[in-house]
Amino acid sequence: MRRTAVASCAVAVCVAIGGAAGYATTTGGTGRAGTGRAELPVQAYLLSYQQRDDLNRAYERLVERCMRERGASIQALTHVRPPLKDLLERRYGLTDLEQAEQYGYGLPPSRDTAPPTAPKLTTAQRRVYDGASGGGQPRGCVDWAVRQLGDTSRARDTPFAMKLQRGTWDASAKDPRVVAAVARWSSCMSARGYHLSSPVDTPVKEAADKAAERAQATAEVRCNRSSGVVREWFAVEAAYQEEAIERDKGTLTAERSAALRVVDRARAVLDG
Amino acid sequence: MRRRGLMVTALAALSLTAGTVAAAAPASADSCVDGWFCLYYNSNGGGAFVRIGGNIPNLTNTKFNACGWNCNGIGQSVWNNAGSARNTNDFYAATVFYRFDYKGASDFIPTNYLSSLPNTYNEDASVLFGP
Repeated sequence: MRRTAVASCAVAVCVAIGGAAGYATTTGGTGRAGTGRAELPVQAYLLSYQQRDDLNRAYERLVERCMRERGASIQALTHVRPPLKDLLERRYGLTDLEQAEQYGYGLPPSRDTAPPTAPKLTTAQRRVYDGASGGGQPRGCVDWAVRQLGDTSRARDTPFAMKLQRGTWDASAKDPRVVAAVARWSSCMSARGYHLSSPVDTPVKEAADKAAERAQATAEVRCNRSSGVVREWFAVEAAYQEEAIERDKGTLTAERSAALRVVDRARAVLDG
Repeated sequence: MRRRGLMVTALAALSLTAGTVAAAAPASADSCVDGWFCLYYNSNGGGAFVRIGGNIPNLTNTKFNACGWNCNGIGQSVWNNAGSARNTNDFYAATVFYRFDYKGASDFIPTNYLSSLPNTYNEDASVLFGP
């Protein structure tokens, strides 16, 4: 959903990434105009990682404000940015050559953030943060923040759309066109000395050997490109999604509206 | 920890690498702490569990290593064996991927949520914190 989405990369960089990643440009209007970065049809019905990031920021800001207003100020909550750009990033295998060369299958350290430790609160602060249990007690700041954003039904997680994308990934994985592309990839890897059947099933033989891991990851990216498997799988999955979306457009649209309302409230918190 | 109810998701096989090793002493099912994400042997947060403390690119060889309400499944591998999952973070989802190294389709375990994992679905191989 891109009603209020912030572009996640500059146009020139997006085009380069899109091209380098080997994603075909969609023929439908789902790609962000001008960015050149293709998106799957279902992404129009999911919050982007940027929007989810905004939500997390808004939560943190609301909770900090609430604690302050209730006389139980806490230190600023640690914010964690999304670890990946989006749900496409490794969906059909690795596509970032530089990242593979440097980190193998790992994430760059700046994005491999462990969950922050929970804030250390005194008993009194904890009561304000979580709320006291028992009927009639005031809600804690966390619950208050959830209500401020109207996220009580987990609107942001758009479960129907998420279920749709799980189904289409499975269906496309079995599609003869993808199976053929995967076989081409496997031959390409075989020529480089790797016996792997699929770009999404690539355990590293020796986990401790980072150089070997980087070599395999790099080979994978090169074969992902030359075999066209990422492009093909994306195109096939997009077609399955278009079909699935048509079948349940009403549900998806309603779900999207609810999620966007939450995002709008989050933006108001952040912009306020 | 706030329970917001169950969500039946279609996640099943979870293989875990050695995440944080929890104390062997029995703990209550609500002690999914010091580990933002927990996997349980039984559904509804029952049985033995294991705490995950960070991003796990390859979920293999992790065993249920802490007793919950009971010790069902203690010492067993989590692969194809987890009955439920809990995200204890207040704001951030857990993103579970269907293949190792964050590949494939993915799903969110919402905040403060106990998720039941039907055994029929089978692919969870890595997990990330957020977004």
